[in-house]
Amino acid sequence: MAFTAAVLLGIAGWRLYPVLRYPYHVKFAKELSLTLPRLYETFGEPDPVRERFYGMALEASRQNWDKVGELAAEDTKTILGSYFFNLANAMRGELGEHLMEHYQPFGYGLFIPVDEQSSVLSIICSDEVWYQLGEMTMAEHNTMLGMIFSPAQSGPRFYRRLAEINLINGDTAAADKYLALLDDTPDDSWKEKRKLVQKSDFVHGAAQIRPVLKGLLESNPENLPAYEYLLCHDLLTKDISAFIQDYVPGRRECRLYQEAALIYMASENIMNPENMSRFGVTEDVWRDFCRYSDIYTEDHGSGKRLSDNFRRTYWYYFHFAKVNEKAQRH
Amino acid sequence: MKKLRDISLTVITALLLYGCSGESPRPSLYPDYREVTVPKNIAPLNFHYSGKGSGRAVTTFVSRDITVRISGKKVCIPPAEWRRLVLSAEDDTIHVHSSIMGDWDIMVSRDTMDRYLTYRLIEPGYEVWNRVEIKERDVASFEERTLSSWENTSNACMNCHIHKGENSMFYLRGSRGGAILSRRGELRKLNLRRDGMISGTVYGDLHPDGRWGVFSTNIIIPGFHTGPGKRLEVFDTASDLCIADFDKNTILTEPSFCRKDFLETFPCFSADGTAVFWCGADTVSIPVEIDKLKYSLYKTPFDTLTGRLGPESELIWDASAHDASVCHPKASPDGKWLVFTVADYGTFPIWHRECDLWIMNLATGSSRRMTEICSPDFQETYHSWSSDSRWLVFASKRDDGQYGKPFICHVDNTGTGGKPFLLPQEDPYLYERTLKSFNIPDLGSAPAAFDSSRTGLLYRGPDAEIFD
Repeated sequence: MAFTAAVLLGIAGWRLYPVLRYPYHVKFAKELSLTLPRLYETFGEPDPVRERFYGMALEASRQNWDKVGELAAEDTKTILGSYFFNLANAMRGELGEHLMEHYQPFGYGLFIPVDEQSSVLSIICSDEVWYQLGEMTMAEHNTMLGMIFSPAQSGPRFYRRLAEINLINGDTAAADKYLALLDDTPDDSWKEKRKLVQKSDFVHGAAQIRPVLKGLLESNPENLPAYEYLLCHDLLTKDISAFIQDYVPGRRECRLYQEAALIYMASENIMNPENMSRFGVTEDVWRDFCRYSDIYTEDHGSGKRLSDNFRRTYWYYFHFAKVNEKAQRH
Repeated sequence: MKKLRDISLTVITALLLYGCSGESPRPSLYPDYREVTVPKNIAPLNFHYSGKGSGRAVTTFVSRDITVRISGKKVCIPPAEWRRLVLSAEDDTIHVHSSIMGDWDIMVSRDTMDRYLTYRLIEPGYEVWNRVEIKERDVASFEERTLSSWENTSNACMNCHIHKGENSMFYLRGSRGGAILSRRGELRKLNLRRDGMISGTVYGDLHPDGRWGVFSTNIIIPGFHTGPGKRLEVFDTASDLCIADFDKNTILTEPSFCRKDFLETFPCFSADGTAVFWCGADTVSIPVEIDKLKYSLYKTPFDTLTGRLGPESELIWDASAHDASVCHPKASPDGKWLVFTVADYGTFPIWHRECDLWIMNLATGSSRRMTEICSPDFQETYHSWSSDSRWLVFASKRDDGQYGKPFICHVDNTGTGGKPFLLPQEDPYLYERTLKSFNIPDLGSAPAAFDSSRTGLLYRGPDAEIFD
């Protein structure tokens, strides 16, 4: 009798242990209308890394940016980790400040690519940035893709987001369809997004990110996250000329942008006090740039010594970050 | 204290929503089958009530001496009872009395609709797919069978199932796919592409005699609108016409239908097979000038002996005169009518809310918007004729703007449509719960001569037949 009870308790403990240890697994499964075994079967056995992924996805959809930032800071070199790290910072108005503090898989850490190589989890999370920036067509498209490729092809996570998007767009009939499928009612945070949506209409390809961000800014110049995403997209794709076109000196004080402006001035051979002032380059940044340039020249382009002191500068990223397509998409 | 305040707020909100009297919303029914004309071979028109008093509703169907009474919000009519009702009401009406919504009639036409409706079940998006299926529904019952399934075709995309008499065709994409042609009971997998064509065949139609197929070849580019609610825009950067000879496995092209400065697409045969209707537009710079892309409608003679198109084409609907764009023409089997889709611009209007069905009298050339069947706010597309030319099925997003559903309407001998009604389902809640669109509904007079297992065998089997 005691033995049977002990065995039963053991089984219960064995089953309950991951549930208690990994609460985000449980919540994420519910959001995707999955049982826990189905979640494990699809995305892998419960572990701390997945717990963090699910946590970032869930907390981001609730706009708990400090929590997202906290979870993302623990990440090591994953696209999803960079994606949520950047999003949390952008929503707190600090994207530029912290961009170089984290692994940056080029532009993929800003906008997750969605194609045949993408993981299901990546696709499910890919709508968040578009929604938060106010681009509802891409947000809806990516939410729909997330739903299509999720194991149950349904779930409150998708219904809620699709309802919010359609409420923002004023498509109440479509919103009603998804609201009717939900047990709960979304809060009113979607109303804040309405002022961000594009007022003009044009047609673009899925990979044409820059014109979409510019369109968002034209519709609402106060959309600071969209502005920072535009600048950081230019910088992470190493498109300095695009950055200079998009950069509005003085709008957003940030060392990263000063560093990029110095690269532009150096490449155009227009480094003079007037331009320093125009791009808001401070004395400190200028001094660091000179030190960086000296070491770079002395070491004949080697990054070994530079990595000690300048690993978190845009100059270092610009010179030494290389695309590792295979590793990035894994 | 906070909990108490929350409860009070909830009560106040509920009162504001439902009125100070505490009444729930007015009763309504879905799908709306009031005052519709139905074919006598339609399945039971099951529906459900919502709102005030729906749980206590009593619905009574009366036709001559037959009475069927159903209690409750879910009104599912037993098939045998429904059959008795429609048979006794042929060319007459079934009178319906609802204890909560009053009275209405259902007109039962003597015209029988083609019994088999095929559609693709797919999430609204159409650019990316996962687990797509083509289904065939017996409209006289609720039986549905799978003609092609993702499960036995390596999750390949599949689309555009079209009927013509006993023959039908659809595309199975993927590495082992092809055009799947069912002709006189024989199932074939065809590679409808030869050197010099810009793509494999895309949109098309089968000739009444079964030997020929007319197709467009298209370079299709998807794009996204930034404007709220406008969603997807799909356009062609090039498109041509060609004819496939299914007897000789050849594809015929004509330079005049393969112009680089002109886009030719959406061809269909006339009812007697002696002409082809198709859409054509001057190329513009896209996507920048997408709103200037406007297709006109043309008619070109077709030689049923040689398979040759032309030489001359007649402009029968001028896009510039209407400042609009036409697509998906389909001729009625009796040769009297041509129904097509009209949008403000472009070539793929499923996300164009302004998109409506138009009808042309082929004897006079006059055309008009089918106002009587089109919704004012949402799009109607992908129509299909019943072989008696008395019924039209089309996909409409009128309910929620998002999901295409198959609506059916009667067309009288003046080309006027009756009130459209939704294809009935055994579960009247199905449309509200489903997350799939009923894409490209197409009517057939006979069941397809294949099922998903045969399709799967064909997919995994030998390579597609080559066409020269």
